[in-house]
Amino acid sequence: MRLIISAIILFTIFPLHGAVKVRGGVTAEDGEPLAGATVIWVGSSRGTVTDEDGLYEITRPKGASLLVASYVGCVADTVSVAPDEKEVNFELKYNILGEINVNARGKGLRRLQGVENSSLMGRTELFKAACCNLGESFTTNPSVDVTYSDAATGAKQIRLLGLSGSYVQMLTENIPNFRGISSPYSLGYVPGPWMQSIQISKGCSSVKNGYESITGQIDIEYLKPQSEEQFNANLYGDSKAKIEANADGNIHITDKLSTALMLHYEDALADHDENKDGFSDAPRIRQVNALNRWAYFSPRYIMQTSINLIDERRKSGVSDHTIHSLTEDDIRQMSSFGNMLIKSRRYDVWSKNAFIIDPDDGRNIAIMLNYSNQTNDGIYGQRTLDSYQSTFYGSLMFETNASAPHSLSAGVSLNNDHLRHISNMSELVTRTTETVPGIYAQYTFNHEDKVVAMAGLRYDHSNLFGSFVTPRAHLKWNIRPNLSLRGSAGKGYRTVNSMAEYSYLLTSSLPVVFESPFGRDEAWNFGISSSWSFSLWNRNFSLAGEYYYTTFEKQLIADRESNPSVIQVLQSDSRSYSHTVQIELTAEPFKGFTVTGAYRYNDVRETYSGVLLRKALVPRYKGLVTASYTTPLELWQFDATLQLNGGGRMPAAPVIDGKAAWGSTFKSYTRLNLQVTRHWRNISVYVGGENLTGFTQKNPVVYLPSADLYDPTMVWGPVHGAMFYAGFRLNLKK
Amino acid sequence: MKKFLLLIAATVMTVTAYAKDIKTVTFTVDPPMHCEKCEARIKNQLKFEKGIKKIDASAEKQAVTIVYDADKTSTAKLAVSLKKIGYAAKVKK
Repeated sequence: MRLIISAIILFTIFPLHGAVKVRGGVTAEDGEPLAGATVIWVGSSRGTVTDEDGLYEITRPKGASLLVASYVGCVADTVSVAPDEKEVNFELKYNILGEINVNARGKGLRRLQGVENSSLMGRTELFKAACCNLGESFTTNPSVDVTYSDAATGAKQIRLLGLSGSYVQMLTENIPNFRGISSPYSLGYVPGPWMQSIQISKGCSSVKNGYESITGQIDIEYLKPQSEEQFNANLYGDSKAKIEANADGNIHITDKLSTALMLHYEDALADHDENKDGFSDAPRIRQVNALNRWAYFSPRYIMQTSINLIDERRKSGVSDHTIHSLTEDDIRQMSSFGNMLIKSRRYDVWSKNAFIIDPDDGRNIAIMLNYSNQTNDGIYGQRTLDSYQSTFYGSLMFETNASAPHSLSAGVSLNNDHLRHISNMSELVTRTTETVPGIYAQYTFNHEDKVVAMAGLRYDHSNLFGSFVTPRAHLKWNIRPNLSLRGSAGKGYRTVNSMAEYSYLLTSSLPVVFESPFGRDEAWNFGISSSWSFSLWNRNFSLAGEYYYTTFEKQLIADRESNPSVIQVLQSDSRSYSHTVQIELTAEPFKGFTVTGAYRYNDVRETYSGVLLRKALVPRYKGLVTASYTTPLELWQFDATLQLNGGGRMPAAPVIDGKAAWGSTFKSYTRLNLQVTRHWRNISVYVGGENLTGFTQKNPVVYLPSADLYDPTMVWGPVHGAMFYAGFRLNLKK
Repeated sequence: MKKFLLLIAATVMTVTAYAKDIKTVTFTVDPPMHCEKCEARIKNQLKFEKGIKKIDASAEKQAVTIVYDADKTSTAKLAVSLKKIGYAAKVKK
């Protein structure tokens, strides 16, 4: 609290500069305003970042005459500014090669121009829903599904291309992060208000960030210290007694150096048992999260460093609401199965350093370093599992100008994971270290922005799995300026720590057999996609379609089919694949009103003991309709999201007294979310409701005391009925 | 009873309609607007002012046309608001 107060004081007492100011806007070649573009005076390096409309204002230091605007994904532009000139506008060309990583605050969801099939969610899109954290920010996104792994730990999983989120590589500011034991809970580790944008890339990605991405990459960009000095605060509360508080602020210490501090607190003040089964519907989570980051910009050297500390507690089990109506014996038995407590502590430090060799042609050397350290102490009914992981990642890259017809990126990397598990189940006690040095090169060919081809190759060596080669290729063809076709093919590998990623299975009372502490995923991914924007009846439309095929050569699977009374986590080299087809249409029927409809069909299958089956708990289709209306003065905003989730297959159920413990299929359901936001100059207030259709899965926790069966992992639908929330966001600019 | 309520409603509506003094003003600004970014900057500044009904900032016409409620704001107040973001505004005759 004291920190928040000091932050407020700092921001209010800042003197205003009376110096000469230059202002203007930065747009892309297609006229799209670029929010978050960097504008810097050459030499003095006084810099700023454009606002949500792509506008900037910058104080002019004495003698400064060259102004540079840059935007990742675009070619930087330098302009000579006459002493009396007050307005400078930039129009940046798209650099349609390689990885594109854009920060947009203005528009909601944007399809990116890069060679990869990527889209970007800016703050406007993130603020369309309560968006308390990363996991909740995908509600309005047709490509990513977010599901609970189980009703006890509340661990959230994302699904991309119909496959589990573990095949998606998570990046923070383009550095691999949240791996291993942090992966089950990491979607809760990034508070919504801290995020500047999220980039989702589907398909095999580039080889620059390693060999791990199989179905895609999700990159999170946090708020930037170098952006215009400001202070933001946010309070949130909902009808499920969850409260959240966020605050962040940034200061420019000198022309070159700036820092930002972000704080987050959340707590669930009560638990809920809507279906009256005696168990909490979802865990109570308490989290304290703090992030401090620094940025240093000079013409020849750029540094960004961040430190993040997280302390989290998740608790579930017998609900406080129903406890008084139970007998002591019931409580004892239910607690022995269902009481769960996970305490997590994590810190990570990363630093990105770029040395610009030649500012004219963009040649640079970059060093990225990341160290993270996490402990999870978990009690799952009668089982305990304490996990510890430390990860070091280092990468050195050399890059040439991405706008030239031929460009090259090459580098070396090192990844080291150290894992330790301590448990009351002796077979789970393990200690392992994996070290993987690697080398890569990626070449991009650009024929007048009409055809862009990118090919990359990696060679890595793991002390556990030996040497392996990762080839990946991308092609983009701009058939017409408004019609493009993309294709990609590539391989991905992943070392899977079975206990880390499947720890949630320990909540089940069924025996869990981990075949080995480490497993290996090896898969090919192929995809084609196309996007087309057109005008009809004087209205703008955009249509996108895609098809992806992922096939596994090796895969760590949780087999619940071969023997329904035992969960086996094992290495499989049998056939396993996923086909997904998605189609998406966006239209603006009248000014201020946009509507998107999307539909995706998933066909995901795995082989269990020689039998190829549809993957359990994966819906066969997903439909999504989002509608958004903003009043002409943009003071009011209305957002609605309707999700149609298809049904699917349930895992084979253990048979108790001649009866299956759960059904063989689950049904389709719809979910409706609404939100209204009112903006004032410095404050926005929002109220909304989630799951307004009120559909809930009847028995997310399977509990048959007579057979000693407790299983909270059979979750396929919402565990909470309708929920209402309200909050406000405060924004103070200097 | 129904008639009575209708009468009250009608009276209130008439009174509010009469009470509202909706006016339109057109400003020229210095420095002049160059492009849509300047237009957006002006709109974003004015939209949070009290009594604003409609804003049309056009670089092409070099004019900022504002429809406003004269009981809640005035041309002077609007000019002060524009001054805050560095534009000297003059009422276009």
